Amino acid sequence: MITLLQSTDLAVGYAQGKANEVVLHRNINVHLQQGEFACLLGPNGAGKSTLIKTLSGFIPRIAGSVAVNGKELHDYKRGELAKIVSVVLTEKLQVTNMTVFDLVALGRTPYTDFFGTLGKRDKYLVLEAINDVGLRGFANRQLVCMSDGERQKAMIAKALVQDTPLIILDEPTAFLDLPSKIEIVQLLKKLAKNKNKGILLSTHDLDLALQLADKIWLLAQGRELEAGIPEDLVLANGFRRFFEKEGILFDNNSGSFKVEREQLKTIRVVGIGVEYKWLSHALNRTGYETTDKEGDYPQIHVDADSNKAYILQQVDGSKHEMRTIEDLLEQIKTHQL
Amino acid sequence: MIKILTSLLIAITVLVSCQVNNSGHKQEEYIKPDSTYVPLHAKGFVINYYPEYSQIVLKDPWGDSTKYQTFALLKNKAVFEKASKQNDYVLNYPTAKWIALSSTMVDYADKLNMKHTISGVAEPQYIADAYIQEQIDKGTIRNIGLAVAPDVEVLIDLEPDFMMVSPFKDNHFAAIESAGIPVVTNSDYLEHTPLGRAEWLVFVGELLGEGEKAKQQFKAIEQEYLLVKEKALKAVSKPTVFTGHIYQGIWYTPAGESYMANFFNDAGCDYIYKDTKGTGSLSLDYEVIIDKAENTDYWLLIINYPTDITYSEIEKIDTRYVDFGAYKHRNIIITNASNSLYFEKGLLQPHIVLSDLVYAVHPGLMGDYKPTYFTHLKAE
Amino acid sequence: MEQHRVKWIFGFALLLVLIIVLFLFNIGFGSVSISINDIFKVLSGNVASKASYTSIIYKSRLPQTITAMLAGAGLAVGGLQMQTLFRNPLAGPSILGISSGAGLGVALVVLFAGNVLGVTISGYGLLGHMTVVGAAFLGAFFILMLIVFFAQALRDNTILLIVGIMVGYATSAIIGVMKFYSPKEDVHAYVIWGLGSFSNVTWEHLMVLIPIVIVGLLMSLLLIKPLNVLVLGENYAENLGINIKHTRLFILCCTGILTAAITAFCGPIAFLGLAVPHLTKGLFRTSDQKILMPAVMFAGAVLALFCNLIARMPGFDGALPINVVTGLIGAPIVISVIIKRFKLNGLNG
Repeated sequence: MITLLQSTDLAVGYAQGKANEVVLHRNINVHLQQGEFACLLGPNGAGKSTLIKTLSGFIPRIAGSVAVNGKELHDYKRGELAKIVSVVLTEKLQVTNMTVFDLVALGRTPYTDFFGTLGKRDKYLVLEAINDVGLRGFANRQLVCMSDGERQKAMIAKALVQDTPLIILDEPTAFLDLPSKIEIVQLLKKLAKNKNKGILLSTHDLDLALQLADKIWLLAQGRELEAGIPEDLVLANGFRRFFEKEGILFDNNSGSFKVEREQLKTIRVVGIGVEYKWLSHALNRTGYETTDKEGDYPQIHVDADSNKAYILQQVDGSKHEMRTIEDLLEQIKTHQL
Repeated sequence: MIKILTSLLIAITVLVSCQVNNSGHKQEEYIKPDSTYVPLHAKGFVINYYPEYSQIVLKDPWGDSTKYQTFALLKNKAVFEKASKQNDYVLNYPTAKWIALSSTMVDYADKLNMKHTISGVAEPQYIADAYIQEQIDKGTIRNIGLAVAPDVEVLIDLEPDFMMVSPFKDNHFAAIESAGIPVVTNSDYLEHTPLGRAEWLVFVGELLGEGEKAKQQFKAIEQEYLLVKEKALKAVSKPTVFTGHIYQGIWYTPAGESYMANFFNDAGCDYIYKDTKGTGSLSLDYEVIIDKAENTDYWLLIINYPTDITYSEIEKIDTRYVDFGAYKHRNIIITNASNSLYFEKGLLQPHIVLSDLVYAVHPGLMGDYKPTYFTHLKAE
Repeated sequence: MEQHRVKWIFGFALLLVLIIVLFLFNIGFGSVSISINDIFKVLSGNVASKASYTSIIYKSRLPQTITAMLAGAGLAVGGLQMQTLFRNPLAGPSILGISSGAGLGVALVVLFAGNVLGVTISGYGLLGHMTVVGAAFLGAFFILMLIVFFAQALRDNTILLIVGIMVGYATSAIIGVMKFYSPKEDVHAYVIWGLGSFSNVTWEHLMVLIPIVIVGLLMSLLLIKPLNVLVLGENYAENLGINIKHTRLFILCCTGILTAAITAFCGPIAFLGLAVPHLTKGLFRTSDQKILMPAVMFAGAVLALFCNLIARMPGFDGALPINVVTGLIGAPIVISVIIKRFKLNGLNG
């Protein structure tokens, strides 16, 4: 099987004339298969956009090669390239008097005739794509009457109906709310698998990427691109290297970023389950180091039986029982523990 | 807040307009002049003769009888005080230096043999007079710039007795007046009778110290004109005539009480718009004029064309012209201003213009006459 | 989709009917009253009660009417292209400074030549239409070349727009200087030219104008697909296979040629190019150029015919200049567009 997208020692950047070449990244060696869903992650200013633009064919590569289906990207003629890679970008569309159908239908541009008339098959594919992205019934809805999330789905449908093996998305969820973000990333994963597309998503949603991506590409300023499956990257401390800054730690355990905090006092927490987890979370948040060892500090028992309660036991032995964590924190504050 | 601003705005507007309407007059008591020259034809000026000085009264060019200006032509410096009190302006008399802003003003001076008193002109490229061009080359006559915006410094430097201008509406000569140079308005072209326009020769003559000469010259013109007019009245038939041409889609033609209309009337023609009111121009569109004039006998065409005019030239200019009866029957009377000098000299020769017209439409009446300005456009 | 199809057919039918009706009205009405009988007689090649009627209808009303239709269609199409290319609803065909270029050419002939040659050309001058027209065309073309040159060099459309506006200002300034030094008759003539007129175009001129406008309109039909895609923005359009540079150039040339020719013959006609696309979008409720492009041509012709009719209503012995009428009709439309946009997008619109 030919690799869908393959870069070899690719260098990307900007060239303002021969003299002013600005190279952002070198030696990029990545590949993407059909059916694979990859996420490109990296801090702002890392050069993600430049890489995306190079892979989509918007800007030329500086050095090395990038091939789609074995052929160099810049060897594709304009019309051919339109059938090879489709894009979904961050920009918001500003059109009036356009329906979802009209928008998605534009994805058939590389296939329609001189005036852009849609054939029967084109219309069928458009409606199918609209359904595939979960916008069934929205075909005649005006774009201006839709939410941002719905609009981006329509853009994805457009990319779908463009019938390219490769789909590249540049932060399409940037301005969307969390539920929409989740929906979209889930949709992309599904489409990659069901439609056998190679999908590359540039995003800041680290959490979603870890949960859903087949591959993750990590890009940061001054570092070479690292690619791999999410778990390997985590364990190889990839995220640590790429994202950590002063005061921000990547916790390999939880798979998320923890904010370092000055922790002054210690409290012992005893218990199991979800209440135990979130109690520890609350105490850490308010500045306590938690431990399960006994010592010269107060301790809290999590009573997860029929009556859920948090029992605070001070050093002098006095006990308090609280029903909510908030009350507990209040209690701790009052007694200046 | 808004109320305050509105009141302020109103106050400012009132103040400003009060300033503008500053046409007070010095002559508080009316003193009877010894004699008065009241023009028979011109309506824009009157000359009063006082023992110590002559006075020119210039009426408002647009007919507002409450506005007028008085100029004292002062020979005897001793009465300067008195003259200043009784007149808006006191001018040196006879003038030794004045500024002419148009070529027709130069023509007046030419008629009176007083071109040597001109010390400055505007836009000399439009003045055909050889003497003036010579003097400009020599530097004895200065180019003072645009007629609408002359160079104030050059003017002040010339120290003229006055500057003669055409009627103007806004105050764009304010700077010049406050520099002490009197602005004298020659409203000749606002007269709507041919003799009325020519009579301004007397006005200019008076300013230049050749009042008597000017009156004589004008008398001769008037007599000649009236003679020709008499002849024309005796004509058996009155041919119909129209005038004008299309420019930028508009056909301008003089209204029934205008200068040109009077010429037509005096020349024994029936001008198709002679019954319209007004002394200016009518702007018509092609439809109206072709409808009205398609069978009119004569077409008087006044144009400024760089080369010779022929009937085929006219057709080239606009194919719609060929539909006029006057074109079809080859009855176009024409003056080509580029070589006839109609606009420079015609103003002061109304008797010749009239004779040309009468000769063109009533050839029998004029015997062996050689036209100067207007001729029949001969068919090729 | 089907109910839309019906609506569109109805829309086109309406426009067609309006064109025919207004065409007939323009032939039938003018400053001179001609009876319907006479109109029929003239149109069928017979002699009417007055010979002048034949001249009026064939030499004045017919060419005027045809000119109005051509100018309306051409300017409207130019306006649609400019609004789509620059994604600005307030753009019109004059936005690139091409009409100003035409004005510069005319000013050079009417104002400058008069000053330099010492001859007051206007009023009693008849250098002939062709000189004024030729100069206008050259001026417009010169500016068009300038814009095309900049378009090659600049990627950003906004900068191109600014260049066009600056060119417009610069030519206005130069014309202002010429006006200052010109005799009043010439300035008056220039002002009259600037007010626009469909009635200055004779059959000879139409022999030149008709083919140019037809070519321009055909060119714009070729732009239907790219313009549709351009609505998405240049990035998406490029990804869908549109050659942005070529498309932009084509649009500029198409609009440029139409604007140059129409302005050369009719003077700078205001508002039509700006207002008609909005009116059409309101009537047809679509952004699809397949519908809009032809619709705008018809609607432009309709509006121009309407304005021409009003300008020449019997009652004035002369005619109102076209720009007065287009302004009175176009201005409310433009204002309503701005208000609507304001309402939709708030202050960020």
